[in-house]
Amino acid sequence: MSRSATRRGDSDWDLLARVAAGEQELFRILVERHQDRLIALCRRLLHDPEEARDAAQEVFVKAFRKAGRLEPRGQLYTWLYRVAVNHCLNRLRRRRLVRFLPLTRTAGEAEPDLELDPPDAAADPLAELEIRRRWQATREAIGGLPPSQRAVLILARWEGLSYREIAETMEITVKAVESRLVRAMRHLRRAQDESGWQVSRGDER
Amino acid sequence: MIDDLQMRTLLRRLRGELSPDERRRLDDRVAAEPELRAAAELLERSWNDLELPAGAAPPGFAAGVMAQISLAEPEAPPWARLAAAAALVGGIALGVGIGRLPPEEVLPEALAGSPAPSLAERYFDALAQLDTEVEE
Repeated sequence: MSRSATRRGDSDWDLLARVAAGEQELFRILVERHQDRLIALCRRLLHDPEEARDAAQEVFVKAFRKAGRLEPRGQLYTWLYRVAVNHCLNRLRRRRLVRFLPLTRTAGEAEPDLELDPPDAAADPLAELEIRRRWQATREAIGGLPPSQRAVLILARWEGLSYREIAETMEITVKAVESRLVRAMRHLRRAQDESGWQVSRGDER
Repeated sequence: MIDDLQMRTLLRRLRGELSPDERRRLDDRVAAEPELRAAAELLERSWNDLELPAGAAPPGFAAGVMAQISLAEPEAPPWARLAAAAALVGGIALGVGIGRLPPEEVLPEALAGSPAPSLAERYFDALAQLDTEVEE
């Protein structure tokens, strides 16, 4: 099949097969198709835009290197998610292990991930302030979660994956997904209470 | 305090993971039990209050990946790995076989000061000899 016959509607697996057959330049279509989701996922897991970009890049390079070996099963992005989550979890664990640093930044330290402009809030400074406050509070609360709970929460809350999809992505059981999510939400509730995040109108405890 | 099972069920409800029948039955319970209702409302607020920035790919990201790819070697497919492994095993076996040859078959070449021909050289020499024999 010639390069000119490439359509943007070609399936991921078709493109990957052609990449494996030597049409390397077609990999760019796959990158452009999935880069935003993958970078957003890495960003939410790592809380660092530079590191997230590096991680996403490494995931794509890994996908390219494995192009000829991957079995076309399910969705390609599910595989990309799996690689990205594992990659980011390894980075988080290494960060903890090597640097002996907590997952949250210390007071006064730069928060590069919070420098983004919030969507749809540019015209309203108060709305922008509120979004930034929520970003900050969420980051602090999530920063205290073990990496595996953090990953489950992020896949469920922001990536919109079902329990089954999360289980497939993380290669764990649905029961383990639910268990981690329960523990994560209990932790977040405590963090929200302690920080006075929201005015509580009742408590499950 | 709600227990883990209740929390799990409320999370399923929040995430749309219940069947329509399960959802209806749970909604009835939530409506009837104030403690469960308070817990459900609090969980929903906590969930919705979570917010993190997303951000799109930075400009030039795809070009950067493509540049990295131009340096990356694709991994060999499984059959190629098996073939390489088989060749390695075969090579080792052949090497062991050659190692078991009587020393006089190898030593004179080494003693003469010229390097012993490699396995490949021997193979091509044998082929050349075969060609010569056929031509003759």
